[in-house]
Amino acid sequence: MIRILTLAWLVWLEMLRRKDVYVLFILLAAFLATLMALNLFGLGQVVSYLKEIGLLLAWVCSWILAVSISTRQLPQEERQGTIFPLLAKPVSRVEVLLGKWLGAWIVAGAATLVFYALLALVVVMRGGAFGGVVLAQAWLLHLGLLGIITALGIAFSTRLNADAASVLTYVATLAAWLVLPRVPDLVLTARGAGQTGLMVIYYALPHLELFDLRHRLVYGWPPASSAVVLWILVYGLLMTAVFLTLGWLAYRNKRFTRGAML
Amino acid sequence: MGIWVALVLAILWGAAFALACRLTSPSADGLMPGDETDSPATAGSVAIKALSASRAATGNQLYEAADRTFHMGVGVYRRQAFTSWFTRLGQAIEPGGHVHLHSEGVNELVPWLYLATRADPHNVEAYVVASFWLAGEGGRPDLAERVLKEARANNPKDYRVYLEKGRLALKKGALAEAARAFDAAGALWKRDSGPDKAQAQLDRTEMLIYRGLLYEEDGDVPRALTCYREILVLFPGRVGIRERLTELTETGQPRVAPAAMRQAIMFQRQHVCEREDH
Repeated sequence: MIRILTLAWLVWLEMLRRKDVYVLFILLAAFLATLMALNLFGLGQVVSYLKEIGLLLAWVCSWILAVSISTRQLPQEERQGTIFPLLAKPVSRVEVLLGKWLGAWIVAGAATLVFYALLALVVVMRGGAFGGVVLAQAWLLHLGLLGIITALGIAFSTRLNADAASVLTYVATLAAWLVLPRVPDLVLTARGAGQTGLMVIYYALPHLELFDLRHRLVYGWPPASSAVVLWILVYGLLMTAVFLTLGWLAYRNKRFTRGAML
Repeated sequence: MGIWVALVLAILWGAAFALACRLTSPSADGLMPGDETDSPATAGSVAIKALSASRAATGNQLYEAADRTFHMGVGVYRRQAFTSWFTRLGQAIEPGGHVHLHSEGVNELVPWLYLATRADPHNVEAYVVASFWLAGEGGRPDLAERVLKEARANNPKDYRVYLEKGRLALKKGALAEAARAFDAAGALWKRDSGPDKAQAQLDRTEMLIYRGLLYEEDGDVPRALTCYREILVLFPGRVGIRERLTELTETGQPRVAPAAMRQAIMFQRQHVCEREDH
């Protein structure tokens, strides 16, 4: 466990050294400032649009961050040749995989917390507020979502270079996000192989929409039932474990060649 | 590196979106093979067409966001072929039921309408809806007037702007101003009633009813009768109008005073969304 935590700590330090998080934070702040500065037909004291667009931006930023951090960890070690001294140490491949995933997940989760805090501050400045419990639930579920995305990114990056892995992760997560919630009504118009294909996709891809509490948060609805939140988190944990296992299966016997990932 | 990949994907997606909007818009013929897209001069116009179609699509999307805000985050109902563990969990966390924003809370949907008009300044419906709510429960008729002024500047020949201007004037009690606005709306309607013929007929009926009632209040019964007869040409089944026409023709005096009738119609319009069946 110590070895996994050490690897995760290294990912954290790398994140502090690189500028990704700062760039995304500044972009988010700039967008929020622009939204606040809009002259909405001369109407002030309205916050719903700020909450909704702000949360969407926070989600997009954390998604970009989760994919970019998770997909570059393993290919970077191979490209720089540091995978050889790393594996020469008493560290197993599964520990490398878990350490990299944990680091990427914690970094993305912490950055998301900062994004939420910035948004909450802006909303308060505008005279609005978020429900505390719903906000905590939203962040918790968002954390579950980031667990799945980073696990998928790590799984793809075990066999692909960083660019290919990140493109595949973006496409897979976006498709899961946009298409899966519509499958129950798309099935009504599909026939034969198309219908079977939709059903396969429906059960195979992760249901990321379950982790989205934004509407409940924006429009002041009461918190979701704790049991439901718990079930969704368990589902997130399961999907994360599935992707990490797939990644491990792809990584355990991988042969490393110097310069192969250049 | 991942951020750059995201950026490239976003640009590609944006281009695909603009093209898809153009191809699925009703006037997509210009992009078909063999059209005028070969010359460099028209290539620019194709790009502009594609972008303007995507502006309209974005405007419509923002208009739908306003509707969702009005229903406090509850999305539109979709019939589903099956239910699963995932759909049940989804329903448990998504807001549900038939709820609306009330009183000054309706102003929360104005920013979406504002953004919709910024994306597409010809989205007259967004202007009209913003003005309606601001002047009504939003309690800001001053801003409603400002919205309509901007709508008129961007869409000077659209009858709907003048129709809403007339409604707003009625709410303020400025009857002469309302009459002028309905007359202007009627003249523009005759020139171009827009693509939605069914809605255009309903709008024409509304302006004729208001105009007829205003004529009655001025004591000009013959012109009021002309308005009501025109309504019956559009909708022969309107029993209320037929009865009013008969009362005015036979006795010269309607059972319900025009001002009371006007108030009743405006009140009905304000509360139309309280029905459970929409």
